[in-house]
Amino acid sequence: MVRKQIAEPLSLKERTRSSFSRKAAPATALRVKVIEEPHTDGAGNSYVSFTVDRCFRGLAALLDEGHEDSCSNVLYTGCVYPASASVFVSRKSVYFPAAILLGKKAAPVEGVCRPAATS
Amino acid sequence: MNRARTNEFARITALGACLIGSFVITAASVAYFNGDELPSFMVEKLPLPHEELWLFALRAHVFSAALALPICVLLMSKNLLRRASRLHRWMGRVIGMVILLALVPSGLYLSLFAKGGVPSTIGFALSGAIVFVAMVQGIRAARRHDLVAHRRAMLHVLAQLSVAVTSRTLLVLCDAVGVDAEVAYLVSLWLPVLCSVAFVERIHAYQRRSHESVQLDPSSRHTFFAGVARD
Repeated sequence: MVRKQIAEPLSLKERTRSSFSRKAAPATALRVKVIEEPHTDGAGNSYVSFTVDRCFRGLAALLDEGHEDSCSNVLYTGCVYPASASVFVSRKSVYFPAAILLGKKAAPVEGVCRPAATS
Repeated sequence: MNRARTNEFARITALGACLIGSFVITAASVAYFNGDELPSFMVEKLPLPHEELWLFALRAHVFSAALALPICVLLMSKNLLRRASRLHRWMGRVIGMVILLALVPSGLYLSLFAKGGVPSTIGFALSGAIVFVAMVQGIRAARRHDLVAHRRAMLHVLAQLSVAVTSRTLLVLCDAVGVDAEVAYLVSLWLPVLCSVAFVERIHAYQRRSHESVQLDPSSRHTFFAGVARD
């Protein structure tokens, strides 16, 4: 779900982006990683937290073809609600619909991606 | 190749690199003017206290920078100054206003939200302050026909504007060798800002020495940046 809604379209977008920018160099690949067991938010909906890691080809990989790309940089953190297929990403502890990563305007959403006790 | 020719070659290469870099940055920034889309550069900064104001500042900054760097490069042309000094003056006046009223204020506002926190904010603000002060000094020097002081101030303006190109180049290099993104961002900002100041002061000192030697020896053939001042 996350791969389809974020990683794949974002990878496409990254490939067409200029590397001559103050943003980090375009990623060679994006890797989605589930980081926690499912939680339930204040509204009783179950969600799973994830990270999207940025893989890039450093000098070592360029010099050595057998060297794997490094995928250590966490690009985004967020959560996905499997029941509704809703994906949210965190910007400075505020959650937005994942569509913002693809350039769609959206307001922050309150109460999502936080366990019931803290939401 | 004698020293004067080497210097001239280096000067033209550096100015050419600034022009090319400026056009590449401008081409990549066109997306910021697409009203329907949230720029990915803005997504990095969310949540912002005043999104519309930030986007307005970004657009003003990109537009004024797209004009300022190429025009400042053009204004360094000795040929333009010799053959069309009125055009040089008018272009200078227009771009001076663009820099003082749009580029620097918008840049200062954007610096408050810079990646890398306070050290980045200070770095961008310092660069903006140098541009502002140097531009004011340059305009005042031009008005009192002090061409040596005018050229020194304008070189500081151009050098700081060129940080847009040199810092991005450094970022690409840092990323290629796998330097930590946060460290790379700060190094790629501060190093060009400080080196640009040092570089201009070194050129100015060289010019003063050349100028003095020209005055002492009229047959001297030193032509490095001093050429404009002697005209």
